[in-house]
Amino acid sequence: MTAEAFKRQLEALSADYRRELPAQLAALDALWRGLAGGVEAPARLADLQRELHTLAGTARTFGVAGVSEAARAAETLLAPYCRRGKLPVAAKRAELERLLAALLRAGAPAPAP
Amino acid sequence: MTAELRRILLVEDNADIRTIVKAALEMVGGFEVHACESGTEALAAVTGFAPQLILLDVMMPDLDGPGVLARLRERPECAAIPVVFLTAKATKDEVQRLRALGAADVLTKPFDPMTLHEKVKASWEAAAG
Repeated sequence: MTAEAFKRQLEALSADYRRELPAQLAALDALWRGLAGGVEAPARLADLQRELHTLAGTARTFGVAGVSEAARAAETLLAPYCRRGKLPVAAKRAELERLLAALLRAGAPAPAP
Repeated sequence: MTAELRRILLVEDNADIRTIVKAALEMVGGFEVHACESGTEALAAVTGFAPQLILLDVMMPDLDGPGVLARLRERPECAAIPVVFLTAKATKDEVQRLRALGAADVLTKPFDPMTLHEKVKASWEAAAG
């Protein structure tokens, strides 16, 4: 087992991760849309926070730094609201929407050459 | 404590991270790694595997990292094993909190998989004094 063999495995794992990322981000976006459009649900807010936390800690390791950064920013924004079990106020919601849009762009598949 | 780090118990609920950490520590670092996906599984595995270091995720469902650490410290055969937390929330306050709980070190996610083994080894050496 060598570093070279690991690099090859890392490339394969990263490719798998990036392939699955758009679906993961779409689910996260749907989770937010459901929260924003419906009755406040503290448990689902915590789910969103946990998903963002996981993305923040994972994506850069697989070479998708933009997703980690946007997820970290969204997680930080959401944290105080999550502790209170309340949705963000309107201005912060708009900011969160921008961060989630950035997250979706960063995780979108690269256009075919 | 033996002179060379060989056996590491990894506790991480995220399958992507678990896979890459295990592969990095085994293939690049040359360690023997037993990976667990929950704190409960780790507490069951620790005596049989006899790790020299435990690499422990902080945020896990059911039993979180600090909860695992507290239970390990209650068991005489596990009490002295250095525990290194792996966290995506590495604020200064959080690092201080984890160290106050008895962590030997705190490593941050995301990490560079190619150099993770060096950081783990450095944590081990620091804990060994």
